[in-house]
Amino acid sequence: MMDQIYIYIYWGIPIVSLILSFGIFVILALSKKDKTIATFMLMVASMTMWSFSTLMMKMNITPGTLFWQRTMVAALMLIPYTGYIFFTVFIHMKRYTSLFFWGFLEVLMQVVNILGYTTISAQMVAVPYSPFIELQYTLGLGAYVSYVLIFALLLMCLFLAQKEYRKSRYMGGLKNIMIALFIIFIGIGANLAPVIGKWPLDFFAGSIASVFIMYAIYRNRVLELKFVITKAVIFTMLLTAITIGSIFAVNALISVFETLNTGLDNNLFILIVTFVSLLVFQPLFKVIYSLVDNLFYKEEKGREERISSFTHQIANNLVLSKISESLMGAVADVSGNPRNYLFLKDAESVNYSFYASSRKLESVSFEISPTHPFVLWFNQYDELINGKALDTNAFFKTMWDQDRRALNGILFETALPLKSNGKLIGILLMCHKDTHSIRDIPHTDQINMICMTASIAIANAILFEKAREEATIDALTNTYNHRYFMDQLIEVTSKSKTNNVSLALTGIDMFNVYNDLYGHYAGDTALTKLASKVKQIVGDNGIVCRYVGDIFAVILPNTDTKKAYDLMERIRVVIEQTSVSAPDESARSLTVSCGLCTYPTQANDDKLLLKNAGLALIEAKRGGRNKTVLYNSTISEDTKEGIALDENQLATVYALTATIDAKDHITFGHSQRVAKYATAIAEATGAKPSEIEIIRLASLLHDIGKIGVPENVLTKTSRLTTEEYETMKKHVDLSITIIKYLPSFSKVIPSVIGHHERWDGKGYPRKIAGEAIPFGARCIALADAFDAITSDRQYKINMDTEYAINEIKRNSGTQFDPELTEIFVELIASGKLIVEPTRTNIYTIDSFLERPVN
Amino acid sequence: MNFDELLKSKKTNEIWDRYCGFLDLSTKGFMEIQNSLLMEQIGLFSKSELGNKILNGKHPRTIAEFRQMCPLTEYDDYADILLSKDEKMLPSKPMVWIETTWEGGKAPIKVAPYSEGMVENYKDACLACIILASSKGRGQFDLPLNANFLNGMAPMPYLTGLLPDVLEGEYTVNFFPPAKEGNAMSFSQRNKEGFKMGLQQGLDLFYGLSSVIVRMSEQFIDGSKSSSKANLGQFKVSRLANYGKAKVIAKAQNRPVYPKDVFNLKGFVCIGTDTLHFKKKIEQYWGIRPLEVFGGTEVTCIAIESWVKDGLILLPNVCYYEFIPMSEFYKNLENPAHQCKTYTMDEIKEDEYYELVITTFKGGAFARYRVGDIFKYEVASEKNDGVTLPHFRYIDRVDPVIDLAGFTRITEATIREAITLSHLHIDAWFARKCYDTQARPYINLTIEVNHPQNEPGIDNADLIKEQLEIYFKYIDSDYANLYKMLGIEPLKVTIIPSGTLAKYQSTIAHPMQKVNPNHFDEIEVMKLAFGSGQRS
Repeated sequence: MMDQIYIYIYWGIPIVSLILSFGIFVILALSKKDKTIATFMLMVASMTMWSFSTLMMKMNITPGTLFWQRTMVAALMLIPYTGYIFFTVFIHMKRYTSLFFWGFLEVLMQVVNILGYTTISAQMVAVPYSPFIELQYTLGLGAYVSYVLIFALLLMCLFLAQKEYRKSRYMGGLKNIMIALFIIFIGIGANLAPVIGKWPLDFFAGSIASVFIMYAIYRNRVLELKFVITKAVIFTMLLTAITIGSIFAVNALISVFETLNTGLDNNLFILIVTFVSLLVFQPLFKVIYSLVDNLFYKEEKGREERISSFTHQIANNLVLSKISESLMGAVADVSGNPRNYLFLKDAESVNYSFYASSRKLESVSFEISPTHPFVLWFNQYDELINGKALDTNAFFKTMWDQDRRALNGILFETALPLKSNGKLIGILLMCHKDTHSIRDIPHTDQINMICMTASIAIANAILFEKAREEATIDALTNTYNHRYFMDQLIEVTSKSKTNNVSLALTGIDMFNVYNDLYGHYAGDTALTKLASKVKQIVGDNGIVCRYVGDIFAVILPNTDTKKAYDLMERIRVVIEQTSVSAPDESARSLTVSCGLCTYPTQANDDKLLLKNAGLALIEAKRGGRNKTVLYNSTISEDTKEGIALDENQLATVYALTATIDAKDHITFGHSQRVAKYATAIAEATGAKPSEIEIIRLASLLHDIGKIGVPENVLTKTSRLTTEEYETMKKHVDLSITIIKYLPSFSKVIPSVIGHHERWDGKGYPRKIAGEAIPFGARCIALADAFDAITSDRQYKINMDTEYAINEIKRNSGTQFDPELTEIFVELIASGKLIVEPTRTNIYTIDSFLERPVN
Repeated sequence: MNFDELLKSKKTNEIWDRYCGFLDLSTKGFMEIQNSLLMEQIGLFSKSELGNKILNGKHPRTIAEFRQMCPLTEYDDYADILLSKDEKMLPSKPMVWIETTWEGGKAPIKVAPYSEGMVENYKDACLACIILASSKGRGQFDLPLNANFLNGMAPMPYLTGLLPDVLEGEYTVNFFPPAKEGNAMSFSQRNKEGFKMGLQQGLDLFYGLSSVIVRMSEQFIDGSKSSSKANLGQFKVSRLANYGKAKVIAKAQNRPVYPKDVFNLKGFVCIGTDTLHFKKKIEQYWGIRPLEVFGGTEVTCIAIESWVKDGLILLPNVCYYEFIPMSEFYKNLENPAHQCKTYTMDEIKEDEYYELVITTFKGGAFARYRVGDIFKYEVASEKNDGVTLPHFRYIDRVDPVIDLAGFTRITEATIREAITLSHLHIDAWFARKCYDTQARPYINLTIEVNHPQNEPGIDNADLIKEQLEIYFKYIDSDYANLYKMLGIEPLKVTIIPSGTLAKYQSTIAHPMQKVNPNHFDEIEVMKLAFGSGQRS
């Protein structure tokens, strides 16, 4: 039995040593080499040569035992010296003189060995009374000198290692190098004692030492094992091990079989054993194959699959939020790092703002400006930035403290660019989990690939979002447009089933007047401000759309009447208190009226909901404006836009007209006559009846502001002074002020406010020209001037119709609309319009034919 | 990873890039850093009350606007706010206040606030100094862990005293003497104790005032000449072999034992106005070329030499640098109302002299501050380090101050006070900083003696010198240490005929400066006095 064990040790250890050292050599050869690896390879090569020559020697392979014995000695002498070279490199020690000195001795001893002074003779001889053979050799003087040199070198390495270890206790792996050196020292030293020397302890020691050194290199991060140990290396090594194992197993079985003396033919037995071995090892190999595959490539495969699924997820996806969600998930899965933040370029602020995080509830509050060193870097380079670079690359010294603090705050580690067509559209920041997990983030190459794929998808999604936004957003108010509103109304009501959906139509009160008074630019500013306010208050509770002109629609899903009413009231009150003018103008406010209807309580489909909300809005306007009206069945369809005056309201108009007649008896009946002429002109142009009605009312009320003009100015018969004329001009504004208090008459305001404007733009108060002057105002202007000329004048000559017509014609195209003038002249000339008889009133021509304004 | 860990892991390249990477910058890259950080500082500064005062309520938005709106400033402009140490008025919260003496100022001291960012920069600069001091080439430095470090500099609240604090937790070194004990010692004691410890335990790094280093070295050499037994007692047994080796080497070369024979110094960092003059001696004694650095209370450490140790290179992220050419400087000297035109790093010319103007970064307090130092922009191509950034040579202070070996500063007021106290009938005088044959600085005081008719007095130059020195020592305690510690004879007196200065003064339009006057003026005075341009 002891003999058996001896055989196994005798052959097994050199074989295992050879496999081990050769395996290490292959691993090193495949790794990224630097000085440390290269010098270690020299040492491992010496060890491999040592094991190989010993094996050859034991097998008595040609050219013979002596040759292999000398080769083994040469390798043995090389081990300490190559070890010394490796060691000086490992600890960054420059000992060139010493290396040269020992190198010289090494060469000398190798020559001595070649010349045969180290091993004089060597042969394999049969051991008496035993089936085994053993090596018998005669050593020369050179052998002892060599041993002295080998030990001196090993001792020196140990001494240096100990010294360095004291100095830098931390240094990864130095301890292991010391252990390895010690093991080699013991292993080789054991050869000196023949009793121990007959056992292959030196090989065993050498192999163990290699493993220690290998671990030391790994600890020092010189070698990344995972990248080095490829599938091929593993399989080659496993196959060799299994083959050798099989040979040993078969041999052992044969030995056992022979001792049993069964009488079975040996060759047959060998055949059976070999066959059985094949049957056993083939599936065993398969199992091992799959285990190795899983062990080393499971993660890699997982990552590849994840990247593939990510690519699949974002393909054809145009929703930015979905793409970013997929991206952040893939980044987290591939890197194993959960804290990743995506910053995307904000089109408005040009900064890169936080957009998404791998952890859903996590966000960061800072922005990355276009002058941030990250942006400048990515604009120049495509390479990622790691945390270390912030300290080591002078490029990042431009970074501001606040930016550095922000990055430190999130435990930043790596930044990757998201570029599309060479332009930086986003930045991915990868951060450590906590302060204890600071390490390099792995697989950045794959993450970079993910980012590149995502960049294209994100760029497309942004383009798509922009296009969609342009199609659904009202450019002026930045609210959704009519089309989107209609789609959403249908969608929300159809989806809601039994849930409430409230629809509020919010109209700005007297917005046309505001436009007329302050111009369309101011009107646009006001619209924008109001829309922004409404959006701000509604927030995520609903969808704000510009329904039409000055009417906003607010769709409120899952909102009952009470909640909707409260919300709209809040909007109404806030708007009333908000200035809608530009910052550099004096504060002006507007009011809104709101009509509200709720589905399914007051309407059973989207169409009815919209119709009823509209009726409620009309009711709100009619009821005095600046209020919210809930739709109910009492609001009938009779509520229409336009001016349908009841008797009381008409009485109001005549009372007001009478007031001015009473104050300025000179103009007595003027308003009625103007109303007659102006409506005649309007009728002749084919205007709608509602429009004609508005012109009639406007004519009756056009001079109502004269109530506020001092009587002495109003009744002055001589030419007005400049100041008096200015005072007189104010009657237009005063008219508007008065009419504004009569909600039913708001539609007459444009005609009233513009009746002193001139076709050439030199009138007042707004100096508007041509067709910018409301149609009604142009009609009234003609009628007003005509009546003024044809009225009786005290102390002045009476002007007859012909004269008046001539004057009107003369001022056509400058003061009056030429088309309307033509119509008016034709009306008079054809007798379709009969001129009212004149009164004994005092007028000056000048006060009615407007003076050009310089 | 802190410096210790990087060093332990032998991450040489990372250490170099982190601390000395600025040496690879181009002037363009340097200016990009300058401009970016100045924009940050403009934002911080203009929002602070101090900035509001200096900028007169203006808010610059660009660098050009800042340079136009912010006047050139001096410490006087900041004194009221800084001396009150009112943190609310500053651009950022100070982490520490650094002090120094204010010669000729309206208070005995000047103080400067250091924000967290500034302290961080100072730490990086200190480590860069240490690395470069031990470097033989780009990236080839040799620093041990737990280095023995002789810190011969002044303790807190001086800037040099911040070194142990910033290195703590970053780079573990054994300070000789230990920082706590050293702080309680006088300047002289600290250096002596440090040197003694160095002899006992070995030295790796030395940080000191160049003048003091030279003196200590000379004392060591003298000691080694006089008695070997006395020296032996200073060594630990383990270092005796070193000393023995040193003795053998020195004997073989037939010279006394130099510090370089005993110490195997890795790096030498020295500061002080006269460093240039002491460098050669230090190299001769210690066998290692010292690395010169430039810093100050208001500016922190702003310039370091490269591994070649031949010319200062400015750090890009500490301050914004502007330079006043000498032509502008003199215009301003004659007419203080003249606003000097300044130039940036990418605008200055080689071989020209400039006064330095700085704006501290990272929430520092000083904007367009005239540091009061003159530099020469030396030809970069002559350097062997391949660094393309401008190399500067420190010339001297611009103030009417005589800085003696970085040890003490003699002002016009100090001299006037000494003369007044001496009752020596010195009628007129001027003083200049000169160097002796051994490159040691001294004050050359040129005087006119005018005794009253009935009061005859001393008119021997040596006697007058002795008399004056009594009062110099009385007024300025550091003056007394100059000879004691550095072996410097700090004063020489030259007597010129009475009335010479008045006569010369009447011929020129501008007043002649009393301390470090214009060379042309001095030559003319000497011509008038002795009929030649040579001084006695």
